[in-house]
Amino acid sequence: MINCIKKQSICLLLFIGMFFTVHAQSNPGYMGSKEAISLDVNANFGAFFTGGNLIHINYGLSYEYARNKTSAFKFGIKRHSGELDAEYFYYRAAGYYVPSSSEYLEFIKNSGKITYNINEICFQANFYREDLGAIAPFGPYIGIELSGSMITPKTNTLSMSGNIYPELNYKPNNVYGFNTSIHWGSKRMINDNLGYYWDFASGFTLLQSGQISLFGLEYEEYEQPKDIIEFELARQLAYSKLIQVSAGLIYLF
Amino acid sequence: MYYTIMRYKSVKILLAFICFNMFFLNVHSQIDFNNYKPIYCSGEIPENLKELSSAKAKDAISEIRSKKGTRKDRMQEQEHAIEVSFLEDQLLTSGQVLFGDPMTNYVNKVADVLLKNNPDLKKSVQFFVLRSHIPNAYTTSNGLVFVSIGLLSRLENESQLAVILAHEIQHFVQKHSLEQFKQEKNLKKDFRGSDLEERLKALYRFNKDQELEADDLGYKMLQGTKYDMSEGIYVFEMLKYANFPFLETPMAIDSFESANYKFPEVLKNSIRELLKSGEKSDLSEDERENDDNKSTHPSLNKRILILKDRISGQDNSGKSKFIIGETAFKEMQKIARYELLLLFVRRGDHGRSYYLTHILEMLYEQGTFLSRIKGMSIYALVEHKYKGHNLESYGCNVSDNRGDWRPITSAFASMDAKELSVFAAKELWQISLKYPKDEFILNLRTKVFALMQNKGYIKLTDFQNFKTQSEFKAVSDSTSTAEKPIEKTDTKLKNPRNRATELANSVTFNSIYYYGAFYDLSSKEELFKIFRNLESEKATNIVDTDKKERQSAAERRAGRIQATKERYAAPNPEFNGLVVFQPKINVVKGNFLGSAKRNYFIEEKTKNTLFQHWRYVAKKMGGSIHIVNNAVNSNLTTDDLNNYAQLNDWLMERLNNDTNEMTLFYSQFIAENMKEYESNYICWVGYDYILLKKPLQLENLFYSIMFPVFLPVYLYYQFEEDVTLKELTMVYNVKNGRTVLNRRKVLECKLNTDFARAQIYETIYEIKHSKAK
Repeated sequence: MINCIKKQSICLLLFIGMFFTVHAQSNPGYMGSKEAISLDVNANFGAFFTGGNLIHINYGLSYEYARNKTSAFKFGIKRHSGELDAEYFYYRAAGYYVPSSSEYLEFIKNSGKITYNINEICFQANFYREDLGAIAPFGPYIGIELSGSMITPKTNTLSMSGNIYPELNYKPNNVYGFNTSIHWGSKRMINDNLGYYWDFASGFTLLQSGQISLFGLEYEEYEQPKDIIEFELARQLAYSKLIQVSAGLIYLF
Repeated sequence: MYYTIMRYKSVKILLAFICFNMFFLNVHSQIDFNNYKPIYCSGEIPENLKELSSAKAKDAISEIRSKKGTRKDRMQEQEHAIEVSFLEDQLLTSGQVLFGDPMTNYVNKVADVLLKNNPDLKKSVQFFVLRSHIPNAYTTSNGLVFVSIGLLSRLENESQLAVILAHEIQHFVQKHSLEQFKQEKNLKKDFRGSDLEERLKALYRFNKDQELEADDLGYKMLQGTKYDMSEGIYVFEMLKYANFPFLETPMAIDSFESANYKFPEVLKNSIRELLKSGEKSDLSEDERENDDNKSTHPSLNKRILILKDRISGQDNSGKSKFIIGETAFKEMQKIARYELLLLFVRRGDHGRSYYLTHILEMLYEQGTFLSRIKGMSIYALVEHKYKGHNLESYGCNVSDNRGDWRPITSAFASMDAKELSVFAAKELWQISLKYPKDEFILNLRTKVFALMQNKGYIKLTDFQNFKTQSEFKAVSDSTSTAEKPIEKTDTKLKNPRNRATELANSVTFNSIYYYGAFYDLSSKEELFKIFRNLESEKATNIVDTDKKERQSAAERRAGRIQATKERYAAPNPEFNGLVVFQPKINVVKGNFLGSAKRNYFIEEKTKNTLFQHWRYVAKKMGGSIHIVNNAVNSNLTTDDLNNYAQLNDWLMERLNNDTNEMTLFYSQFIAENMKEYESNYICWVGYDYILLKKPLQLENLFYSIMFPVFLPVYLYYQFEEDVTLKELTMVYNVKNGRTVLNRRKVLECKLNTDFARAQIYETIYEIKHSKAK
């Protein structure tokens, strides 16, 4: 798994390196502005696969720099707070959980809602469609996003379950993932500096367990109830990238 | 025959008489013909240019709607009204039409005489002069009569102009334009064309009956005046010989020969061959003209016969060739002829302008202007020859040039680059002796010498070593051997030290006959001194080039990197401002049925919006960026139109002479404008905006009804127009005529504010960063 992440990281570095070293081309930007900051609102439909609310909204802030007429790079952070309905995956777990100890299941059932945060840091290369009238960082584009995300369970399940099963390893750990997405969107301007954008993206996630969201995530054998929670969190993380729709305000400077 | 008449000796007497007259007239002329400058509009702008074309079209449409008649008729009339309203305005603001100038004023005076008894008609007709070399006149259905400079320059008296105007007025009165439009529409002929002049010609191409009717009614109109109707015969004769110069005097290559500068028989034979091929094409053209059945127009011979028949037996007493006055006519005629020369220069018809200068020098006094045109013509031909261009495209076309135009232009076309450049050098040297302080002429002379030296690889000092034919033969006999074949060579001789010997051994006298061009000149020593200086300068330049070549690889690489950096990052230091023509735009809109058509209303609106965007972006970018306005609106002034026309003239000359190195004649006239604008660069930008609706996809509609989930996708696809935006940007440095940017872009985006501004910003940015090629 570590090797896999290493390989992915090298690929990411090469990609970023190539992006910076390609022969520079004079870029006027939009009315002379080549840099943009944007406030993003992102809706993903991961919950369609994992349960819970159908649409999950996250918020982000990003900075984009147009390095030539047709390409720009973008760095951004995104944050999403959500919750998992323990009852939902109780029933899912009941079907798969091999050591079918009712203690564990009860523990899960009583966990109530498990809240979490997804923090994401992303690098995105946008390729603007000059033939459609775009001049980076303005106009229609196609982008490739590489991002690292981490899901952190916020709720202490111990307190939720009333500390009734202290012998169990109940505290779930953070789950990490490495995401790749393809973006399709357009940026339009209201005046010389202020504009808006919309973006449609689809991608997949390589989880720290080595599983890839596209190939389906299966339950494995678990020893601890926290494994189930971690697994559900991982599912949440993985499927959050499958279909995303974003919109936001941009400010060019 | 007009052609043969001019060959009589009596022509010389006539020419002398005209010269005398012209000399007398010039004393009173307010125009400085010696330093002639192109004439532009003056006075108040015509009222119809203050109202938007769309408003005029809408007025016309509402008037048509209130009329009785079939729906089809009304629709055709509406279409015609729209086409006419917009095209008229486009022509009036194109810089190709004159008003308030001496020529138009004169035409108006003649028209006043014709319409003296018809004040209502007088109010509805307006007269303009069209800056076109083709002898032509036409009338629009809104009563605008255009008379070309080509026609005015060929007329011999006022009555001839009156015949033409009377004819054109009748086209308007009889509404021939609308009638013809309807007929052609019914035949489903396509009026669409790319060029404005082409579209207008299509719109005002009358049929035989209409032409004969206009002739007939025009004669009736003339009968009410004192104008001599019989002058119409000359008009038709003149139109028959439109491919001939307006006045002829033989001018063949032999007349440029001197004792030691004789053109070889090989060249003369090739000229003869060319002339023979021209005569063949003349025969077929004459046959076409005489065949009334194949032509859309009635044959001119037929019209002459009708007129002769009409005037025979008529009392011509009291009729006169001039009513306004001969002096005023001659003044107008002279201006038209000078303007015609400028039109030829602008068009790049250098062969024709060279010949016409000769005629005008005979008719009027020699002067700086005529000498400049003459020098310019021959210099331009040399430039094109060295560029490898076919001179047929530069006023030396054998079939187009008839009469005495043909021998000299055929000679230019037949000469090779070296021969022509030496010929030009001799001409320019002689002109420059007359005007030793004229910088323009001196510049042309220097340019031709440089071309001979650098592109023709002619060693200028060899002109000093010229040997007459007998001397050459003696040297040749002593050095040549029987085995060595004598062949013509055009290649650069590699060893200059042995040049004389090699010349004698490898070339015939005829192949280097042009070295004798300056031999008989009394001023040759002065010229040779210049040649020696040029040779030594060239030697110095070669040393400099060697130094550059010997730069180390690292230095060259560093230089290349620096150049790349400058190209992509630093703005062009030469850029000090930009003058932009009002952007042109053609909008084509297609409907669901798949037929596409130019939409003038959207075009006008988009043109104005684009203008606003250009102004906004130019202001935002700062610096000296000016946009020259020519759009019809209430703020348009005569100065705006003149500025547009002046810049347009320069641009036309530049485009018609597509060589980066060439000095342009109109540069002298727009230098002041550019100084005022504080700019070196001139930019023309044009857009083609095509909006096509997708044909109705019934199959997809059916599927989307069956599967309503796909309905929004279908609706989006069906109603989203296919948009194509083509942009052509041309930017030139006015100081040296070099191309700065010539870019074609095809985009698939709508001209929404943000997209339009982004593209304009990018265009100006690229201009600022581009360097002349």
